[in-house]
Amino acid sequence: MKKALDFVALHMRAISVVLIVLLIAFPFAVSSSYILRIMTICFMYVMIALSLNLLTGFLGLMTLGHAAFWGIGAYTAALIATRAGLGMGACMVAAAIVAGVFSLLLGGAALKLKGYFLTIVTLGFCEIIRLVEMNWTGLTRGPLGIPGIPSPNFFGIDLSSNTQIYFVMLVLVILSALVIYSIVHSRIGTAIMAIREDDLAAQAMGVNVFKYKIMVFIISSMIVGVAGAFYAHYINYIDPTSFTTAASTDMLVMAIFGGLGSIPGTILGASILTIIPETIRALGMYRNLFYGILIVVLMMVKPDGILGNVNFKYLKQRALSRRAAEPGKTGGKAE
Amino acid sequence: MALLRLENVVSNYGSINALKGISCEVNQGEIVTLIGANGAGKTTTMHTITGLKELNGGKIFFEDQDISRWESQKRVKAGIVLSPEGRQVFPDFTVYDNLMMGGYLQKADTNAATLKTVYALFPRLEERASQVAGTLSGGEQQMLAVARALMGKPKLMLLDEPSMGLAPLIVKEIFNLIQRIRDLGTTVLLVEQNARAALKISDRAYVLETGKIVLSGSAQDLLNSEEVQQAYLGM
Repeated sequence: MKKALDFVALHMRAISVVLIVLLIAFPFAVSSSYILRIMTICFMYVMIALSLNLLTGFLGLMTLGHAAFWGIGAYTAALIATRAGLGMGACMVAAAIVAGVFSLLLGGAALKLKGYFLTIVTLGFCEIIRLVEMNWTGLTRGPLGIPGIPSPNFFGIDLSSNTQIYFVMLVLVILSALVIYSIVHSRIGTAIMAIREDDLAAQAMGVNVFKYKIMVFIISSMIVGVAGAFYAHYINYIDPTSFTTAASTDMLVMAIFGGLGSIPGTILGASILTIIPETIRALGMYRNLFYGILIVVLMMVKPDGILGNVNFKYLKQRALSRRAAEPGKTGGKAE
Repeated sequence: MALLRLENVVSNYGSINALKGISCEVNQGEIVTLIGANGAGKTTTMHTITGLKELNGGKIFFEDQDISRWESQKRVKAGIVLSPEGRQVFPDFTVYDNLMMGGYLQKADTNAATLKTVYALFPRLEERASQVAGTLSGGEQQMLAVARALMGKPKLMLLDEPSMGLAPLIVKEIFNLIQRIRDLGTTVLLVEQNARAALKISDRAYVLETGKIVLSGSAQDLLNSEEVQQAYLGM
């Protein structure tokens, strides 16, 4: 196990490339539209869980309102697509901007709060957004939802086959993973993690804590907003029941299950939690029970999530320094 | 010239008056200690100086500039660096990454140079550079907290209770280090419950009681003062 982790740490880039190549080849090898749809949904949840992990895992802000921004993105895209007739690209940009503006407003008001207080505020926010979606019938059609959202298309090119949608989502998830990876591995990323570890100490080192909190909150919300826009175009119909606090909880479960503060962990966690419920459909009514047991058992065995306590950066540093030390050991005489 | 000067500094937590008009100064090259009981306002004073806590009245001058309204980042950049109470190291970071975080506002090559000085002062930290900070002993974590503050190239270093919860031998080591840091040119403002050890290495000291300075003078005078002996030295 330890050796396997060292191997992954040393070859992270190669493994990522191989994985991406396999995922690109996947639709050519598997033609089942059922499986392609599961994979597409899986990518979408990976994207959502990654954006949440940036906020909760790396910055350390526990939120129960992530689904609100998903919904804001979905509604923005749905309204613009059905009323203004714009394409998916424009809808996604709009979804990102609107989700970003909402997160700026909420963050500006609430990010001075710490710990559970902030969590409660995000919970309330999610509820407020859902109620607005439910009751502002003039805009959202309330519980009737918005039907007839056009399928994915890009600059007039229709992308509505299962394989095309698969690739659209694959591109989105890779892009968001890259954005989050580069933030986390930059100077800003170090500052963000320092805030998570101890925000007072981080501020004493000269980190502008509030600025970074707002920034990460906005980026995270924008990414999940884009995922919402994709969802609207993919399902062709949205209504307020998708964007509840229960959905927020599911997102949080994925991030925690995979491991807070771990990008590979989040990818793994979100994938497992979207694919397993599909593969055990045969269990029928026992499916949810099995799903629940899976989570409970993992949390008891590995409370940090699958890869939550694995720091690949440090593993790599250690493996490299061990490797550097080894030739000296074999070359030098034993004392 | 006073490096740091506080004029009638007032700081509140809601309706609670934590600092009720504090005036004191720290001169270039000194070690100055604030002593006082729990809740006297020592940590609040430190936080107000660094900008972690807003000022509700009075003024703070650093190198004769009024810094009262400066953001904390700007104060760190100017050379006021705090090592917070309770050895707040970043537990999941390696020792090296903790130190680099201390030099967050510095350039990379400055950090490389400072790191050499810091490792010379704290050889044990160099040995443990790739170890995760949370697994260090209490004493080592405190060393790291002080070393990390040094990475910010402070002109004035604020040390909040560096001896807290440490074995007497390690406390001695830390106080020796504080003296060495001063000798290398950093002015030190120290907050301590361990008044005797702090006074022994200090030039001057202020005694804080419920948000007011009740006594001040040379460290030697305070060590000999009956009042201080009874209240803080347990004699």
